[in-house]
Amino acid sequence: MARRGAQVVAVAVVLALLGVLIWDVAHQSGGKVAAAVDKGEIVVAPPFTRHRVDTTEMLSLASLRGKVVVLNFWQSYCAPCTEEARTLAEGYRRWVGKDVVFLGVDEQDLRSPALKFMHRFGITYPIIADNLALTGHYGVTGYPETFFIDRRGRVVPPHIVGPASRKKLDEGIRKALRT
Amino acid sequence: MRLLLLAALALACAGPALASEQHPTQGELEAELVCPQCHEPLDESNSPIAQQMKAYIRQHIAMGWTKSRIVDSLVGPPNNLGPSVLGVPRKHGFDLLAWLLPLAGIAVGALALAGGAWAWSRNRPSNKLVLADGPALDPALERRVDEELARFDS
Repeated sequence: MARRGAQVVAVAVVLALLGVLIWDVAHQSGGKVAAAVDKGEIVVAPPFTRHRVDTTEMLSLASLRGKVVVLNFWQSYCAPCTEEARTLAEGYRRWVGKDVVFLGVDEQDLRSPALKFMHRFGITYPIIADNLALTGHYGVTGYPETFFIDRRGRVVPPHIVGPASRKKLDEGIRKALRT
Repeated sequence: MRLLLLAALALACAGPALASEQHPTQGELEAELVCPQCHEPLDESNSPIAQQMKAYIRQHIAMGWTKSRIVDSLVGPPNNLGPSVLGVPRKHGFDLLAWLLPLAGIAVGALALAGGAWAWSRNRPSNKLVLADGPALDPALERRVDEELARFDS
């Protein structure tokens, strides 16, 4: 009888672990966003809420619904990020008030160097801190990378890999505004 | 007397731990933290983020911060590097499972082993029982064995 009980418990534990594994796999977007957008597809933007680097508040993607979001992944110690930083800062000033918001995702960075970076390049748009979770969800493979999210919360092509130029940035924003 | 010795031992151990918490050294923090980029201990990593973290630790030790305050500020706000920078899991919250599960596994294994040994020792047939329950010897064979033994004795 006791042996039978132990067998039932063992089977239950194995099934529970299997369930956790299946749930985990099912809930991973595992980099599908970048791959889908690069194929020209439009996909729902993975939601997130993160601490802001530039203030002590939290910021969620949902709070930006109704506006086009330029989502830029960067790090303060990434050389190519310094190349595009001024373009982004200037792009933000050109597009502000036109239903477009810029949002930086500072990956695996300390706050102080991140703030110095922002100050150095005149970045005044919100920056959130992340420790690779969003990199995984969006399928970011290096820094910098930029995504465009339309007013309905969907990631739309193009997806910029590497430093964004003014031309590519404006093109992405215009496309996102049209969808 | 034993209690007194135990208390003295506990005090002797608590002293250095308290000193480490209040006045952490650069070396011990670098040994306990991990580079989130290369996953090497901080004191063995030279990645940009590791260098940032080392500078941060140096600066905050100089400011008189405690060990747990420095570690907490790296894991959570304002730096938000997450628990991946910890060399060992924390001893509270969900991370406590990392400490408890191996102990529980060892305890379950020991119990299973003890239970198995107990069951084996109970069910094992003794030599005496084998002889008592075993089939009786064939009379012809028994007589032959007796004859052989008698011959051997003489």
